[in-house]
Amino acid sequence: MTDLDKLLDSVQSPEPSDLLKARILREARSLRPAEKASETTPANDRAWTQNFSVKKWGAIAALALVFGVVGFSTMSPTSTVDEMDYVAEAADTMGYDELYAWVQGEDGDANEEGANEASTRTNSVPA
Amino acid sequence: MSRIDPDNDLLPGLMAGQEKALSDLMDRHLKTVTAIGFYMLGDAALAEDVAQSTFLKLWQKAPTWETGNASVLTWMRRVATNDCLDRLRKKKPIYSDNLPEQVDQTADGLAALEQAETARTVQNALNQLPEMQKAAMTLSYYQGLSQKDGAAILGYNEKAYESLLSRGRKNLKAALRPLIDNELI
Repeated sequence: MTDLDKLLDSVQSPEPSDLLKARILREARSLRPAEKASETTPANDRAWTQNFSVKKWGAIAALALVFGVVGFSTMSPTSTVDEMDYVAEAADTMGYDELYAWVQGEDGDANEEGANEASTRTNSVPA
Repeated sequence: MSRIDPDNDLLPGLMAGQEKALSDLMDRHLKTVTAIGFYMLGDAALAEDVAQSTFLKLWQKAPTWETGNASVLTWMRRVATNDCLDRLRKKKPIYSDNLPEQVDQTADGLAALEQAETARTVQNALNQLPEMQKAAMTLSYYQGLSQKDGAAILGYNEKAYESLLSRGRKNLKAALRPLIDNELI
């Protein structure tokens, strides 16, 4: 043991007072941390919940995208053909089949024969 | 290789908020934790404040305690040391309410007086050390920690801690040179 160690030994920490332990226990009783903490969600579990929330919103966004794509696809020209068939059938039922055929035919003929012939046929509208 | 925490037996009780566990823990470590405050702050009343704060922090943190990390005592040493460093950094003068004791003038009484004077001089020399050197001296000398454990508590690597400790001893020797030269020890 060096001289310095002997000198350091001359300083000794006093014993804690008798009241200290009781004081700490009284303060601890007022805090009651463990009971409160046991009712709350642990920090890491809460973090998991937050992550899950992000995942959930991500899933919702993905589903919305899928529905959007599907919905957009139903607006394609294919569905327009179905709609035209339905309108043609309705025109037949209501007795306007000839008019409908003429209207539809005008576009088709106009494309094939030119604008002059189309204008001529405009004068021969069926009764 | 992780060491088994000798206070593992108290952890379930602490985590469940059982006062008995806290009481038993104080029976084991209250003196040790209070001593850190005394050697670093040089005041018994402030040392008890540090001890109270440390045990209450543990009490509050216990429900989320993770076994396998720092031991309970290591954690409390770190908290107490940091608390002392915070108080020292506030640079408020520390007034002690400890009045000097009346010492009789018999031979034994004079020896006790000399011993008290020596202790007071050493305590003053400790108080004059830079705060981190004081912390290292407290942990390594008065708490008997290895350099590795002391370095871990202060957040230093071992080389830096060794240097800190060396400078602390050198400064103390210089401050206490008159006592050493006069062989008053």
